[in-house]
Amino acid sequence: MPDLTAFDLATVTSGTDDPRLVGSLCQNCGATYFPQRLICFECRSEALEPHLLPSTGALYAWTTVHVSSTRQTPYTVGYIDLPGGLRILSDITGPLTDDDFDAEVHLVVGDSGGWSFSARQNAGVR
Amino acid sequence: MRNVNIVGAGMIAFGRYPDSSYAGLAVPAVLAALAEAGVDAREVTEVFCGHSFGGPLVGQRILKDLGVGGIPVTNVENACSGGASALHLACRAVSEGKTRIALVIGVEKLTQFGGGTLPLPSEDWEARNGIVMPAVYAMRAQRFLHERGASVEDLAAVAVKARSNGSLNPFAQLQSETTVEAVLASRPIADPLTLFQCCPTGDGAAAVVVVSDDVAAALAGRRVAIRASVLHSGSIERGFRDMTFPEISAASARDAYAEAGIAAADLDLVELHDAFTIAELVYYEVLGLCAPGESVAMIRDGETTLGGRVAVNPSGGLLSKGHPVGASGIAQAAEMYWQLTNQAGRRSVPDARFGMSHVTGGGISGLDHGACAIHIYEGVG
Repeated sequence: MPDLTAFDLATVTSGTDDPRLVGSLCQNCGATYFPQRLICFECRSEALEPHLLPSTGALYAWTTVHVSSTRQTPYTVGYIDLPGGLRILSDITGPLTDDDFDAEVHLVVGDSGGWSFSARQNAGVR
Repeated sequence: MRNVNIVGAGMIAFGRYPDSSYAGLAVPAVLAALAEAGVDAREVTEVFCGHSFGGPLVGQRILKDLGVGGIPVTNVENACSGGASALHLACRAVSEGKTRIALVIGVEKLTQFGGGTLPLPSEDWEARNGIVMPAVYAMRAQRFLHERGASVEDLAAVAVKARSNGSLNPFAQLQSETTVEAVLASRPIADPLTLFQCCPTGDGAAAVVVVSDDVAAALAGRRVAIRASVLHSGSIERGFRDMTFPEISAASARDAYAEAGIAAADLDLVELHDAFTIAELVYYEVLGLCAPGESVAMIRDGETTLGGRVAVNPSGGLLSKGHPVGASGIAQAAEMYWQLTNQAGRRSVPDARFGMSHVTGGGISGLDHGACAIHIYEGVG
């Protein structure tokens, strides 16, 4: 039985001008997922294919974490709503203000393949 | 729900007991509950034990120390709802006539982790990418403050109330009062939540004895009736979710009111899952204690203080009493027993008849929470 969450599959394309997160698209019902999955939990189909996700979305909420059992602190994470009805957790880089709720955020991919979303086009990657 | 009663409750003061075993924490609470009920340990016919981090067979390790065996013992893991889930199973067993005297234990030892945030399973994708429980509630808080025009002082007011109540509760881990200024000046955990807005980690245990009406009458002691016992699990959502209205608790509350045949307005006191300050404001609305959009006014107007319209977390809640995960649901039930039998001392809610306890919790990608358990109690003399 393979791990349904398929951690080892690629999460982001690299070496292009238009980097994208790689999710899954259910060939039966059209549901999208990130990270990739092997079974659709909407319709239980196993016909899922790799799928390039939109590189912009709306920032729902974020927080800067100062105490963590898993990562060096501080770091900032947030929930991003992508077109097509998919919410993903992502690192958020670049400055944020109280005006950034529901603001458009953009995928940023670093040279090492690390990725985050930023509200500012030219923000750097950690 | 009919024909289910609590006839005894016990707990140890929550705190830090790094040298204690799980059994060492739980046995004093169990003995206190049995003594209050007037039941000998060997009269117990079934045991349910809630915990999350105690390893295998926690209940049996406790009962061995009391010389009890040969009866069904079920260990229950359901994150922060573990203790209340064990109570739920006991309620079902008693109401269905499957057992005569059920002992329910909640116990946890968090000092084994040395402090910090609760460990989440690394096989969860969001946990691998930086989610910790304070971050979940922090994002809930950010969104709530944004949508409501509320302030961090409103969040801090929840902690101030909790610590005020906890200062009256000898079982509370934090025994001192605090101020809005001190809450906001405590160190940041996950913005906007500061240390005093997060429940302290610690150790603890609580126990209750659950029996039918007939057994309660035979024991002839104080009893509190359980009118509803509801357990829900979270539902997966791929896309948008309103983080200011956790649906698992709303659905659980709806079912609990229906089962008890009462409305939110009938409640005199509520022990709800204030793991973080924002949770209490969110749950005022989710549990129906106020209308949607009214929770900030509710805390500002003091409606949920001791002596307010509905006392919320008179024990001090998780923020003051502490939150040894699997123990919390049973500590809430114990508080209900003491409140509704006039044994709550200086933190008593006067003339209380109906109370509710609510725990939820668990961090899983795509779920608002993993589990939620709600019980409704009625004081019957």
